[in-house]
Amino acid sequence: MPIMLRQCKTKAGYEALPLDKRTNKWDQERRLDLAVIKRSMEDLGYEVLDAGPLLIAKRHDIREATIYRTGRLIIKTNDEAEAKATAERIYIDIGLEG
Amino acid sequence: MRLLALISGGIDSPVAAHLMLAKGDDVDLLHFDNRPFTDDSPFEKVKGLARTISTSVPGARRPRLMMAPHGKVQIAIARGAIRRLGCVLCRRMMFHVASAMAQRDGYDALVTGESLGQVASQTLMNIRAEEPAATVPVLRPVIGLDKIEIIAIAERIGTFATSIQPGLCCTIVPDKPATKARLKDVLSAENGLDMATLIKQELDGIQEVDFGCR
Repeated sequence: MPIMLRQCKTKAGYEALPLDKRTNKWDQERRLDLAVIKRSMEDLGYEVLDAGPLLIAKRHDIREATIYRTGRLIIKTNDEAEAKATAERIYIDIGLEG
Repeated sequence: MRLLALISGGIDSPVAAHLMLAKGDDVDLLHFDNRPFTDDSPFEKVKGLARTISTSVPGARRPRLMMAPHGKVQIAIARGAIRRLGCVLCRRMMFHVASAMAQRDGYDALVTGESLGQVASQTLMNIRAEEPAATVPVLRPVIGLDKIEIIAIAERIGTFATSIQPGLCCTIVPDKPATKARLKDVLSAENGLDMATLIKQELDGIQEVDFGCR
């Protein structure tokens, strides 16, 4: 799945958006079931905070990231390569890689 | 006067605190720690800003810096209230907690860095919906200044370089925050939250932070 990655305005993090494989666009109408995602991520060893409209997830080998219902991520790193690797890993782990 | 200045890691609130310090008031600083909805950078920036402010007025009493844990409140608001009111409710909670601290510790007023129209929560209607949460006067020394004027002061006193360092924005800001919040809607939203407990927990969690010497 293609991912759009861009640095936050304040340069302290990266935003990742999952793009549709066919249209290469972000489906803003997508609504993930965060309760299901929380459980599946915890099963994969993530520590997950449920904050209602978003989750905050981290694992010993994965940078802390905020996950929104639309699939948008905010990743707490200013290292682009690390942000890309984190986004790819999380999208796989929440079942968005297809 | 003894003043309690609400300070973020941004440009405006350190300038507001400095201006009141320069008037000869006793000023202490209160930072609302938004982790985990931001990273560690605002907290580190605020310590640097406190160091700079503390020497920005020769002869002024050195401010104390206090930190209030705001993350749990953000979760309660996000889970329990209308999403678009999140920013207004967050700021009202800051006023609730800061007012309670002011009354407990003998501060005469709060100081904020609000400047009209700069961000979603700083419209006149939102300020009207937020201010009643304060039970002590709220002073806004930069309300009528534009950004260029505020930056000029920040550069002169030395806070600007710290304020513009990278810092993660709040990640729990709603997609479409209310810009014309009505007080009755906000009060109704607060009725759905356990306000007394949230305020007490945050007030009890306030700690003084050692920001070192300059």
